[in-house]
Amino acid sequence: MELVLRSVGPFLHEVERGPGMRVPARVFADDALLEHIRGDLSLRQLVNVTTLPGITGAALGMPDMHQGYGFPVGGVAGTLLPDGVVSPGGIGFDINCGVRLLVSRMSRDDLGPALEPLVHEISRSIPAGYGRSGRLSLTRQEMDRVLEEGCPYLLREHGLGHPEDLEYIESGGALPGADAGQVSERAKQRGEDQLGTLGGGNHFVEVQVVEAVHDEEAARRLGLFPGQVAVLIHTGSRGLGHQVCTDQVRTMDHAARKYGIQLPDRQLACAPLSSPEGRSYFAAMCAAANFGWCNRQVIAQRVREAFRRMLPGRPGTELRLVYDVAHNTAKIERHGNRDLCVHRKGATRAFGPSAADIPKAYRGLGQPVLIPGSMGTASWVLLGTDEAEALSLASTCHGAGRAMSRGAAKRMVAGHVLRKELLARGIVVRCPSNLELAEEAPAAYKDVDRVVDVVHGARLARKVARLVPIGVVKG
Amino acid sequence: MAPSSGPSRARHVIEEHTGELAIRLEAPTLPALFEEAGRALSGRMRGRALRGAPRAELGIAVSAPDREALLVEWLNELVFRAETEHVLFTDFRVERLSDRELSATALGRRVGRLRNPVKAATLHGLSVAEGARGAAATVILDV
Repeated sequence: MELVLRSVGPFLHEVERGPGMRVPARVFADDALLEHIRGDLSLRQLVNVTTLPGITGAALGMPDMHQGYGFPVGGVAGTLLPDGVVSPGGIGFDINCGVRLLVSRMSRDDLGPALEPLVHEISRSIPAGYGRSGRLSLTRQEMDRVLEEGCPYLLREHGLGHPEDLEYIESGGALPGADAGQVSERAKQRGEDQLGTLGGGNHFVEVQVVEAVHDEEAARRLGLFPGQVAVLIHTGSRGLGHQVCTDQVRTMDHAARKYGIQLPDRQLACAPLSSPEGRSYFAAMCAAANFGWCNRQVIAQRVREAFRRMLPGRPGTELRLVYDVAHNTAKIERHGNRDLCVHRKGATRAFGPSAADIPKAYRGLGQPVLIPGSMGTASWVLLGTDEAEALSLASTCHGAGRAMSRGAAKRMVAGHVLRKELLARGIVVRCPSNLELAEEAPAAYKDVDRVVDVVHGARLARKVARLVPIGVVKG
Repeated sequence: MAPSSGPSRARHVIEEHTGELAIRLEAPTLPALFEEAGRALSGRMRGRALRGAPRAELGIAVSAPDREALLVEWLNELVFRAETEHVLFTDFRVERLSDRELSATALGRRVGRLRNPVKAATLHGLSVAEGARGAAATVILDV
């Protein structure tokens, strides 16, 4: 049955209410993005999300939404505590996949011909690709402390990073509900040598330049200026997070039957957050999220070291953390006078200027929202708005969103041609395989500028700066 | 023996979507279907065997509440083994199979690097059917 949509606000569309829907399904998009969204099963998946017990407000689709499994990628849902459900399928396998932005005080001109050796050094310093081991192997005790204490532990005990980094990581790089005891031995085994590794797929480290500033005062407060050299890191909790989700979906599949929860899609398996199964998943998910933040912390350290090694004695090379955001998590948040479990799968938290849980330096400004583009295209720095709380549970998009499969991208784009094109545009590329390069070709993604235009127009976040890559290290 | 009107041998088709892919499987029997699912997974992950790497052989036993979930457990076990032991399993012998339990031997070689990431097999859109014409299944992987 075709889903009927009607416009209910600027860039906002609502699916006509059907049987079983506890709340409306709403999607933020313009006409072109809506056409993309209608081209796959993501709207149907969003409607399925509306059937989750305890869901409140609406199931929300961001403009980069595309088909996933269970939840669509780009889906947001809040369930009312204490008994609303938590669903691992609403976070996904790559728990706390996210983005971290570091900035130098150098301009592109200052970098000069050092760019290529710098990008090469970064690629040498960060193991990339599927299942690749890192240099930082953890004992089981150290692993448990990473899982429970997150980035503060890495800083305190291993000296990885600057103390001021913690202020600029979402939730301080440590979710308080984490319990390493709820993470299986298998998950720990899968992650034990993956801390500080990039992984495959769309994960990357890019050296970028601030190409344009859209809000000068906000950019100044974030420490951004035109021509500035920056580094964007996009990766998550690697195999550890994948295994946590695998383990917990199995448990939730059983729990959903135990609690008599009827679901239109088995991957939406869930349990009340107040149940033993719900609490176990949440504690394991928080631990995996901490691992994801630690992964980006270690990678940032490797990048900082590469800058120091390759640009010795040059002023402005020290990299300052602007912010680190997650885009696959569930978090307990207070919205209005209610406590909710907010699932964000392929969606970014976007707290406004009034929110307390943002860095002190950004109070009154808003939480930075980092939107990575596809390889070779622009990325954006946005700021959360206060309006987004009512519109989208303080959430916004997470990227451009895939428009075609990896296979289709490879059929459409020749990797060696793409490599040459990127090089011709002055972008240094380090990727072990042309095929993998082609999979992440810009043509495989929606237009990130259009996606950002929609979140800006819908007042989910506002534009601050647009960055473009000059060096790409891909998994 | 395979029913005359069904598939005479196991086969699979991979359908790619934006962030995931569906494997559609057919086989004369359920054990052959599970073996084909293993081959489909390894065909997706790929990797170059390390020179001189001895053949690895591994006994695998998984259980699940039903046949559909058993297929997901089987594939997720292979994903876990491939990632932690750096072995790409390419040949499979299902030795015992019921609706809730599977025992099998997986054979493969150590690889330096697996080519394509597979995060996990999912319960989304999952189906396993067995009839007079053989067995068929659909399973979706997060990649």
